[in-house]
Amino acid sequence: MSREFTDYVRSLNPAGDPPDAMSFERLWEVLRAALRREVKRRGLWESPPSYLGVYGWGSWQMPERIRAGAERSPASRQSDALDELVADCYSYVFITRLRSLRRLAGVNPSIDGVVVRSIRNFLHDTQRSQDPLGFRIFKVLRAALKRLLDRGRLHILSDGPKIANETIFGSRAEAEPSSAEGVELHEPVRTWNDALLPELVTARGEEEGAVVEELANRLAELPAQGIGVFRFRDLIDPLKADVRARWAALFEWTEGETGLEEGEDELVKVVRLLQPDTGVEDRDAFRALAAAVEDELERLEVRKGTRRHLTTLWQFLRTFAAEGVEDQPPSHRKLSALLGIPRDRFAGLYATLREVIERCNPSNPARRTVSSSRRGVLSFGPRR
Amino acid sequence: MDDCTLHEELRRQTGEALRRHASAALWEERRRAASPVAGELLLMRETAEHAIEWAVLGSAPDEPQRVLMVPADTVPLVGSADVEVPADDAAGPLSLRCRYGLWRRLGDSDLGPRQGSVAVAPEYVAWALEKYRAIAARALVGSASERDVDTDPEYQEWEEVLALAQGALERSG
Repeated sequence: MSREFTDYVRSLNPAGDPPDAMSFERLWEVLRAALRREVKRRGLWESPPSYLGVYGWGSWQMPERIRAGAERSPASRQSDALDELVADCYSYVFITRLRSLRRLAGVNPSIDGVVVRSIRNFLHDTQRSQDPLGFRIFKVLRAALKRLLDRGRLHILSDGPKIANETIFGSRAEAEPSSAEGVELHEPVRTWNDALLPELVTARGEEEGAVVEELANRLAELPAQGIGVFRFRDLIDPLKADVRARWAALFEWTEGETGLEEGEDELVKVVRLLQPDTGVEDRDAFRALAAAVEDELERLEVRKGTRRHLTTLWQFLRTFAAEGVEDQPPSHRKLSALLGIPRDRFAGLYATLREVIERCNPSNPARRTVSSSRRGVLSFGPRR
Repeated sequence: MDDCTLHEELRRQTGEALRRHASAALWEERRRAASPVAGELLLMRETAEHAIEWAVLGSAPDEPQRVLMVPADTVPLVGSADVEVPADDAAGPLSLRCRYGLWRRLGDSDLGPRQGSVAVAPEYVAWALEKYRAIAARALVGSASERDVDTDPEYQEWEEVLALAQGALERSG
């Protein structure tokens, strides 16, 4: 059993001396390799690093010639997108959670498994806040698949019970896993999204349960369409790509659309309040803000229909902001068609949302009222 | 920040975290009584492999060794039945899982690995106790964001581990 993480934690001097440079650099490389594996396992290796809060890089891959030079001479090594993620992850696992790790290292023969789980938590948490669209689809799809597994309508044909990118599903337990090769799911997924959006992304609570059931029903129909075996990655990738394409289409001006309707610039103002920052602490603050807004919307004294519109619009705007919106907002006409909200309601809904977001903002003294309702535990400081 | 400076900074922060924990633990050593106090984090042999500590919420008035405790872990997902202890608390960041609380009469062997322990602040212990009672009374109402976490499959998988840990302690107690 590997013990590299365990040895590092045990080597730390409790008196408070920083770890020596050599063991730190060794740990860095081990952590980097583990993180790369996990990013791939979650199917995020081919996605832009911004989906995990690392901005300014087009991909995780460093050009080979640079990386090769770096491996020959660590001193001249250039950092890449993955290094930025490693730094965040190191801080999450080996600084913020060090107390617990050291304690566990005192009683367990190895804590390497604990560290790997912590790396997974880090990625899950980061994707949840930085790529809300990808995260929602991942969450709903996994829940739908799990529902079918529990009902015996679907079986895992690959190793391990955990649903991951490489997991292969079959409608029959004795089906051949290799049949998943070359299975094409773009077309059925496009048809599903016609009916599942926007709830696939914006629904919460009971409504989310209904979307999960709807998606499970569609998945259960795949064998009738000749698809009895498929890989998780081949399902989630086109699903996400199609939703992102539809989101992007909101910005495309169609013929006849020449300018903003009254109140459409309000969307830009609200979205600017929601752009996630890049630092770890800022991201934590953003996540706390998002949770506070959701809770505040639930408490708001408005009619049921208005609350539903506000919640839908809020979930849309969060995703929209994280996708990197330009200053050009989609028209109310398109938003109305997508979200099922009457056009004349948008101006009022934006005004309410702005008020709620500003009230929940950490720099606003009025936020205390929100904090106290959660017994002061809604911390906007560093959380990790 | 270049690579060298960043790595130096992370090493410095690691040392700082070590010093912070050492001073908090020393303070705890001084005030520690023979019986565990509310807020103390215990490490039980049966569940240490799951990376779970147990936060003491209180003890029976007539039997100080019989304590009510809940699992405490560093998984950041906080559902309806959980209490979040933030990073600025000496014991944080932690999540207290009130749905998996249990009463246990602690033996000497349970109290063995107390070294390095710190205590969760009283306000979080009080809130956890309140949640524990609400769960028992079937009166728990989570917030919208907490209920969203309740349905996260990653969270549900972690709940399976918590149920295992609770079962292991119940069997051995």
